[in-house]
Amino acid sequence: MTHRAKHAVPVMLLLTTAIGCSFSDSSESISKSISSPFESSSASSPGGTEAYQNDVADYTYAYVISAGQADTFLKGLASVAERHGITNWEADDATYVGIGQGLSKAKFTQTQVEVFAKNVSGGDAKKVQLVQQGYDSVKQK
Amino acid sequence: MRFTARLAARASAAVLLLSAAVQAAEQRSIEYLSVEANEGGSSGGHAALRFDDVVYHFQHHTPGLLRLHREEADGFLFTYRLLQNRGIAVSRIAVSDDTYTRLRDWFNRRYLTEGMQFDALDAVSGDRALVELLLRDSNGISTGAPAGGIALRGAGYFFADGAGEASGAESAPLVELRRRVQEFYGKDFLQQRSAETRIALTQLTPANSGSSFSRRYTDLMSGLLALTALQHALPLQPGSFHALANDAYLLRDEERSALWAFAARLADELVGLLHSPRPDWGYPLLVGMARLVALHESVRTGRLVFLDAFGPSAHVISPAAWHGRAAMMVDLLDEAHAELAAARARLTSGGTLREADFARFESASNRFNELYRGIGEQLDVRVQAGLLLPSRAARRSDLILPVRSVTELQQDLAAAQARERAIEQELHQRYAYNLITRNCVSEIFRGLNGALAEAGTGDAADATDGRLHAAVRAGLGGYIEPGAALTFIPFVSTRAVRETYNVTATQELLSYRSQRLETMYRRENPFVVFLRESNTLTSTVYGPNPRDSFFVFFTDAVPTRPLLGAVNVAAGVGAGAVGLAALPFDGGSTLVAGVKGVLFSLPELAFLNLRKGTFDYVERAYRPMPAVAFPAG
Repeated sequence: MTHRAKHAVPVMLLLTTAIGCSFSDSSESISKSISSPFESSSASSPGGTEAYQNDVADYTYAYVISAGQADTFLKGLASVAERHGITNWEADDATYVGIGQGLSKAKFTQTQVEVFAKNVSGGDAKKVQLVQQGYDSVKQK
Repeated sequence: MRFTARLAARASAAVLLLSAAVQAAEQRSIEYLSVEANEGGSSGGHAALRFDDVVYHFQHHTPGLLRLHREEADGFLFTYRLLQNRGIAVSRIAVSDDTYTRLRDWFNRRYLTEGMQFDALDAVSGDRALVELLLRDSNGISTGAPAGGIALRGAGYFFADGAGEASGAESAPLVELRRRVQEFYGKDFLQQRSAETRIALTQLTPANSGSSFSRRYTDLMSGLLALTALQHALPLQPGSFHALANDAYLLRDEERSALWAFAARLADELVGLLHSPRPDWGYPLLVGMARLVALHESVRTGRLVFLDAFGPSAHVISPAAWHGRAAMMVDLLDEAHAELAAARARLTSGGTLREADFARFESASNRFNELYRGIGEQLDVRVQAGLLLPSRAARRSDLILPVRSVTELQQDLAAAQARERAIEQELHQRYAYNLITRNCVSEIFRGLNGALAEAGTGDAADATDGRLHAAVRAGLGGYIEPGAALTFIPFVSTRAVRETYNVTATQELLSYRSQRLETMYRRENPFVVFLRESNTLTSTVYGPNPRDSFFVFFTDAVPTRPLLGAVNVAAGVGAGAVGLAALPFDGGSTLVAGVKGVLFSLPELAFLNLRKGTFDYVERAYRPMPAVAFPAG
């Protein structure tokens, strides 16, 4: 440890004691709020669909292992979709593929996947197939 | 001169990017980011973990909670390195593909799981608030609407606050949509669905509303309003959309075709939404119908018509706030224009236009228009971070209320309060902040260890110490105990990471001001630069930021730190004395700045620097290319 670092440690200790890590600050700087140059680009960046699909998969996985209620899954899915600029997640194929991927990561059996897919898709055959496609895509890896 | 320098910077960035790409192809890596101290929200420094273009970091929230945040890497660097003017030590850690995926998945799932848990608290708090509202406005039986009404997201495009419906001619696109719905579901479908929804609202109880009474209630009310808007083909509310004469919004033929195709697909999807299993179909139906009307108007007139997408969290900045900062506003306008141009290009770039693409276009149009009008006409400018998604709410008072007696409501309230307390306690136990054992640094190490322990044993809780350490060593090259040996201090943790993990490259990213000074020292007389930029009075880089403490000299790169620190202490004392006199006039802001100035100057007497000054704006020309933020390898 250098001489300077030796001095730094107790002072940092004092400061972290007083204030600690980064504190969440709701006030925004002018430029960040107006232009949001980076936050706004995620919705449709070239990897947008993939990023959305991954989020849906991770969300689905996190949900099924926490065993929440069915309506909270759909509500949470809506929040995930809105972060990616999507209000009508049912109209985006990536939603169902992502759900299938999440179920596969959670090690759902084929029968469990079929039941989940039927419930989340309202019985729509195309959507059930997309869930299956997502499930198979992870299983095959 | 500046152009040449920028060209050189870009070329250098391209080389670094290429280098990073080649390295990425060879080996996966994650980056440990240690952020320098500065005054503000993280005076002790901060830490984060970067996975390609995404950064995860833990922040301290009131009341004493530590929560995981996810940000785009460029956004994180923009905030901490540029606006907060902090240097960042980057340590690149080589990992296998499998380790990379496990770690990324672990942090992302933790982020999403946390979101679900805190959302459950929001839901039960909403339940309690709704029952309180119903109780307050009821006399015996809850038949009276809450006086202030309830805000319903998305309804503001067709309904004003209060009661009653908009008058005026029917909207042609919604007349057509209504015809299609009747053709598909039956002539009386909308009336029947409305009647069913009304009955469901009156019969709603906490017991039959799924996970949340308040959310089920607002979902049903939003659905009812969406059905009403469609039944009556309501026109858009004045002020809820923008139809501008500006030639910048003239649409080319191919853009009109793309928007027309998107509108046709949207109409199909809206018909489908009326058969949706999702409980919150009302909001997307309201927004979709409003967009449909705007899209038809765009195609009809050949000029872009778009919904107002600023939400309730938008801040309003008056012209007085940017008075004298014309360059900043022009820079922001240029940036908004570039964002709009990029989003607009996506309309006609081929392939199916996704809702997310359209949302980006809509968001960029809103941001550009807000700045353009604000600057041109000296109007208030609304600002809001992130993607703007249409959500205009109407606070309605013509509500269909659940029929609950006062006794039932009192029981509902007691149950909601108990549940709220229980969830709060659980979250506090799970996510409590602790300076040493659970802070922004220790939680990253705990996450890394937990994720890799799961990989080794299937469950982190089942891992013995030996197996846990072995699994972490296999993945990262070594094991760091969270909080041990002062590693909870960000700059100490950097050394631990570099000494313990498989670190293949390191880089010290200069803070914004240091980076600007470095360029100045290269191009100008160093002595002149030193004198001019050493203090807040003559600096050309730093401008007084009201959020900073009062100080005179920058001490982050000078050997005479104690001497200048003493001047800063004296200046802080002076500012405090002036602040005391000015207390009745400035609300204590000068006094606070002076006291903070003294506090942040004291470490300088012992050769230590914390305060570096912060910025509320950084011009685009001075923002480094994203690739520069990657370690050079």
